[in-house]
Amino acid sequence: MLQQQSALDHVFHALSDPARRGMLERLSRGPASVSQLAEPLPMSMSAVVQHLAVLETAGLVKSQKVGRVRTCTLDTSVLTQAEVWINQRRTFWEKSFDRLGAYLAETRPEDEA
Amino acid sequence: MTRSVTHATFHIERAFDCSPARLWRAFSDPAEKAAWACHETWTMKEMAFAVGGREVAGGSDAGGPYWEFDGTYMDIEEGRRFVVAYTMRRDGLAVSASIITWQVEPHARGCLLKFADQGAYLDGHADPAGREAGSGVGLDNLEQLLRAEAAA
Repeated sequence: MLQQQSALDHVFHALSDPARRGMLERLSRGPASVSQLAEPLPMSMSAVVQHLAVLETAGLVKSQKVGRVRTCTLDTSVLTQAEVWINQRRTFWEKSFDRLGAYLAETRPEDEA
Repeated sequence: MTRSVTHATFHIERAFDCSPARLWRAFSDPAEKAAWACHETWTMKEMAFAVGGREVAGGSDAGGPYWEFDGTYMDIEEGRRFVVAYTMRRDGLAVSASIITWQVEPHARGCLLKFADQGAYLDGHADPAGREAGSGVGLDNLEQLLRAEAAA
């Protein structure tokens, strides 16, 4: 449990930065080299490499070096714990709002006909 | 027991085919609130829609744990916005403590509900069933997670 929680902390920390979220969004469309990831970002290559290290520590990104090119891929398996926390509660409220919509539709004729 | 906390925020927006005033009534009138907020197995135990007032509702699904929502209205701006702090308990144990901001705005369809839940999820007491249900989700939910985080 302690280990899981620490993994989750890494995930939330990794997701807390817009540049890192941008990298994940890019990788969600397919693998990319480090220089491809760096291209749209207004920052130095060393900053990009540091952000990648955070993403790799969180387990969100895996990278492999072939020749002189390091290719990064997204690994979504680690996301499930974090997603479960949020989705569970979100689902609770979404269902509640489904009932609210149905209730408003049912009561409309008397109220706003 | 492992002591831990995870912070997470999510946002939900919903448009409804009614006036903002009608929607507000569904939130502020206890009888109306109970009519939609409680699903089949839940009951509204207490509701006082006023600053400092409480709202307590709970229930359990067939043989499952007893869940209880225990909230306090922190601020109310009549017809437009209210803030609730609440704990969610499973068999008496606090699973999370959150702040919800409810906002009601006019919208082309009638009105728009903007809902934001900022939560502290405690000690890893996630619902095992929910954990299982969520274990199948993958890349599809990445975008949703990123959006929730981006909006946080």
